[in-house]
Amino acid sequence: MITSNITRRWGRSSLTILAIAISFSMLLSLSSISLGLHRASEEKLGESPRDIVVSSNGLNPTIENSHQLAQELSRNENFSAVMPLLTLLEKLVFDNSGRGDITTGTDITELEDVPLQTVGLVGIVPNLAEGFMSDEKELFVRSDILKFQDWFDRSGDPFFESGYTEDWTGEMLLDRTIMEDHNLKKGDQVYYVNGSGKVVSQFTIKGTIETSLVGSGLTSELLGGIAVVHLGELQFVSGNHRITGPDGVREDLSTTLYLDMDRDKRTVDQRKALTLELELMFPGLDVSSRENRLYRIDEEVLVLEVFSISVAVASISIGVLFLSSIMIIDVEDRRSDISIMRAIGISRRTIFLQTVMDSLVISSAGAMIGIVPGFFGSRLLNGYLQGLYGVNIQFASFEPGILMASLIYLILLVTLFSLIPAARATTIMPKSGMMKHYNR
Amino acid sequence: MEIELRKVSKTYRSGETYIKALSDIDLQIRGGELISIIGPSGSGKTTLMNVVGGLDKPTKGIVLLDGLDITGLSEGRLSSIRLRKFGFVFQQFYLLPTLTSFQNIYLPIKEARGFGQNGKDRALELLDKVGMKDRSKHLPSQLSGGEQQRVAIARALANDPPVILADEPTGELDSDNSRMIIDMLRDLNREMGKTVIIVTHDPEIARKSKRTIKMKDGKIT
Repeated sequence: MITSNITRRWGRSSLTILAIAISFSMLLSLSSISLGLHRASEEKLGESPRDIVVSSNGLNPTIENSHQLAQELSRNENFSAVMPLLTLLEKLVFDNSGRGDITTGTDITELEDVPLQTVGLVGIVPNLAEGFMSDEKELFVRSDILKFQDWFDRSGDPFFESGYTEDWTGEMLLDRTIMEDHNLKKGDQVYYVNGSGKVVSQFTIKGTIETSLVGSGLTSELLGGIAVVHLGELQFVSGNHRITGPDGVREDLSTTLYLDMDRDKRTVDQRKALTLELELMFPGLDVSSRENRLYRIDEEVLVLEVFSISVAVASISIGVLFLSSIMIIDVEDRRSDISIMRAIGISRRTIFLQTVMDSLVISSAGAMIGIVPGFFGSRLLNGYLQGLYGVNIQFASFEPGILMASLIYLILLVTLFSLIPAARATTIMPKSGMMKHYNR
Repeated sequence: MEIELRKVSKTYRSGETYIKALSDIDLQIRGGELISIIGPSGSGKTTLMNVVGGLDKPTKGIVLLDGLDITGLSEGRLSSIRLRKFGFVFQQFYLLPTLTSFQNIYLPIKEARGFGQNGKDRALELLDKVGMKDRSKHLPSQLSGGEQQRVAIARALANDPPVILADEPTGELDSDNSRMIIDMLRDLNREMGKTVIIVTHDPEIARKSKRTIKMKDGKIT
């Protein structure tokens, strides 16, 4: 008897079921994206071994004497490893055809058909960076993950150690996407272009890295990938090895210091205490513990999560509102039937519950149909986002918990919105619709 | 069950006009009676039946069922009384179109919960009683007028009410079916001791009743 009203207006019921199915599948897909983002950020960033990060605000390098500072801090009993890092956005010219006519001092406007690209350049001291890498050869830079397929031949920073005069290695590890985009291979030449548009230095591609986007950071697709070189060499080409200004001479500038705490001292309280000490040591710089960074990244990912969930909730709400409207129309159509029921003694309560049940049956049917497209929708979105960012992160997490939560939410919403048509049904008096029934 | 109406009047408002459908009706109906209410169109027959059955409330006066004044009861209480004390048979049958014959009868049984687990058996018994057991799964649209009215009578008997109210039960039927329906209603009175009140404009039907109440212009003549 519950389904008799639904099957009576099969066309209308089918459309309503379809509307619920579509909106429910969107709820499932987007909820799975939201959960996936949350999990991905927690999982990946939770693996970060960097306990404390000292960084300049923005991309302006302000940490002076960074090599020396790193050495001094690494002698501190609280830290097991310290490394300086310089991150900049710079232009590079790629020689993918071995033309050999690009030299230092060449104006890029004179070069034709040569790929020029702004990339994220990262300067590291290889042997210090190894202390921060995972077993999978992954290094966290800002909020992004660099996975090194190859490594530097020269482990230290010889150009810096020579006082920026000799022992230039020219080694560069380049983003795989850039290599593919410009048809580059190991051994090809890459040229650094300064702010005046002149080629100032030459690097050789030693190998590739893969980048993963988690939250905002250097490796956003918009920047076109990254390149990693020795710190001293990047300082030199970008002019951050020595800057003379009104405040005097500033040397050996970097943007970031990573500090890894001694294993025995890695509690949250100890981290907080050290963070405070470093804030006093480096006024004007950003000092953040792992907790701050996870919190900040959580905030960034939260925006995406909230957006996904909001769209999901809006879509299911629209579906349920549509259902509620249809039920109101249905109650009016059934006015004569309801008045007959009242005449023969069927209570308002029974009529109320019947209307709510009709809504729940329709929405349940829609939800059941919507599960399969919801699942495939989340797979599709996952694949699309992976392809878009060129990363191997699981953006979508489709789990039984998501399904249960979505079903419960749907049931609650439907029950709430079906109160209106149900209440309206109970106001129909016996006899009031009976003449209409006769005239039907 | 004894039914008593005391000084019952019913006035309807139609736009700016007031229509007095019943005027100072005094009436007593004893249990087990077979009564016809006869009169021309607009005489107030159907209104009288609706007031007796609790489908309508009088503007003045009181209606007593076994001494209980139902005039001031809530719609919820009246609904419960209609479910258990009255069986309605209408001119237009008024079966629910989306339910089968069986479901139409089972609906009030299920609502009243008076037969517990045996409710479905009860519904089938009633269908058999009116000769419609083989049409239990048919929708009203698949039944003839006579068949629909038989199912309506079975529905009226669902909770074994003491009173059956039939408003022009043969109005939509041919003569053969009309005769059959009237005979059924008479059998309910004779064999089951039910009070049967039939509203009709047909004098032939009135002749078959033990008592006839004539109405004109809202009054009993």
